[in-house]
Amino acid sequence: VVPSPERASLSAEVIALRPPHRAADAVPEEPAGPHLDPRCEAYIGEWLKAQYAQILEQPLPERLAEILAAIDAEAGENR
Amino acid sequence: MTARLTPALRDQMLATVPHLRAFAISLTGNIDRADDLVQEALARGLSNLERFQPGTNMQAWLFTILRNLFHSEYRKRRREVEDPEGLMAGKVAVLPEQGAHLDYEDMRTALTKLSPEQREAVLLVGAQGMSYEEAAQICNTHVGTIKSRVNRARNRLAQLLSIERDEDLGPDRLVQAALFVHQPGRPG
Repeated sequence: VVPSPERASLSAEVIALRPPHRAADAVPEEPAGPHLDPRCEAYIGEWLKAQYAQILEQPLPERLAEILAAIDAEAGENR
Repeated sequence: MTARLTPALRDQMLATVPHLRAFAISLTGNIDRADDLVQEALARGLSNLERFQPGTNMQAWLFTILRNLFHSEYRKRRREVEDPEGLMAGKVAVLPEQGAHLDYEDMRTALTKLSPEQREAVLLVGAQGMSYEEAAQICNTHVGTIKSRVNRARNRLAQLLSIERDEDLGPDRLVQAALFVHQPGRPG
């Protein structure tokens, strides 16, 4: 069904008047693409977690450790 | 620093930092840039602590700050090549368990080839273990968009690694994958 020019124009105006996040609702979602084989998906998922875990095991660099120590001290003073 | 940093908030911040760093390293592919981002995100978080609503998710709040900083920086650096000297691959490769998985190098390289939007989505959901809703909140987009990005990121990774079908996994990978995947009817 082709909307009348008046109705099409009205719809456009309604969309334009929506707050930004409401206007975004009218935008089609990005295409998801085909689904992977579950085992391939699981393999990739576990790899992502494993590489993350490796990074988590690393000690923090000195400059971040110093910031954390300062945060710790600041909170201690506010106790 | 702000006077509102209570011990409870401190504990939440300190607990988040390692995860924030893991996200930043995976997102940027560069440890030095990642640490710069974490440092800046913590500074912004502390100076804007009055905007944090107690009882809400400190981790999501700091991830949002870091993610926004990353995208601001990314826009400035758009013309630069991502990880031009293989810094991430080189530095992360010295971690222990390097030989545990033969595909680590390929996987790391593949991750850096995703678009920033796909990379952050698959990291937040697939690595950090956040819900689609949490990831959507952090990325300031819709849940459906995050689901699409995660799916397309997984497909792209599979394509880059030539593991789009289970027969592509090969015997070693297949054993690993079989251990990973949830078997229907298996407890837990």
